[in-house]
Amino acid sequence: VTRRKYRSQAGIVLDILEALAREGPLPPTRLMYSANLPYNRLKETLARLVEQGLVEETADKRYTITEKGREALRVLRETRRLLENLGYRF
Amino acid sequence: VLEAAAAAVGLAGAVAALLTAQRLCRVSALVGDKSICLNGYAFVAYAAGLLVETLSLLAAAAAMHSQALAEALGRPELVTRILSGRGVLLAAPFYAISYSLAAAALYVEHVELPEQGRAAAAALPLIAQLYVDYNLVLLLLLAAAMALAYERYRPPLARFMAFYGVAAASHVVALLLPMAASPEVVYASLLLRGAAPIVFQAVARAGRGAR
Repeated sequence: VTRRKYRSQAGIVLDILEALAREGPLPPTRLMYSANLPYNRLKETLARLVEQGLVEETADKRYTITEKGREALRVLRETRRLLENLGYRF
Repeated sequence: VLEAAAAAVGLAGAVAALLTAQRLCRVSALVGDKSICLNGYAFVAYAAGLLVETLSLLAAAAAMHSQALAEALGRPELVTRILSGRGVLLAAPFYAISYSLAAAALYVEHVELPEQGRAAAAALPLIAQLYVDYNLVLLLLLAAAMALAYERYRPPLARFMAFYGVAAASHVVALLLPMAASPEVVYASLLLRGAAPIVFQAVARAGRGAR
């Protein structure tokens, strides 16, 4: 029996923020491929990130990382190893 | 030297655990995953265990150097030994809480529950951590105390077992919980523990009446 391996929520947020930091403002369809996420999961996570002020939606329906988002990305990168050691998958 | 080193490392470990907890809860809020902060709480409980253990060690060391206390207690070498080991016992609940929280965090984040039947199996490590460790330690402590008392005084076995036997049985029943996977065992365990002093009183009364 093979078990599916899931990325943790932290892993998903890290991938979204990294994609936006690397590639600049992106439409959701493009972000879906960059962060390797199904559309529904992406929309759900983006809505939360927008609410937290880590990501902004631009007038042309693209998503861009904010200064607070860059700070969060730095914290996540620093904590990644710690979380991996606790069993979280990235 | 070992004592001082253990106390220093214990304190440093507690500080490190608290800092880790702070980092984890910060990340938890950022990514919206509560299980990460649950791991943070596990580290807080772990730090509490380390602090209790370290402070007990320091208290025991202080007591060892206190001539007045040693004289007052009459058997200073034995008392000091007991005081030294006391820290581990006092801290044990915090470690149990810590490990249980860590298991709960893993359970929340990683364990899939596709079928109802598997839910009980997935929860087993948690139940084992919550009950087995504690009850096994308590059972061993009780057995040691019983063996010592029996060896020293050779009391009538039935009367001697009235309290200790029922109390020990309550922990044995609690140990069966993970195997039984039945929540009722918890109540049976508590019931037996509550019954132990009542049985003890009843047996003592019956003994007085027979005399």
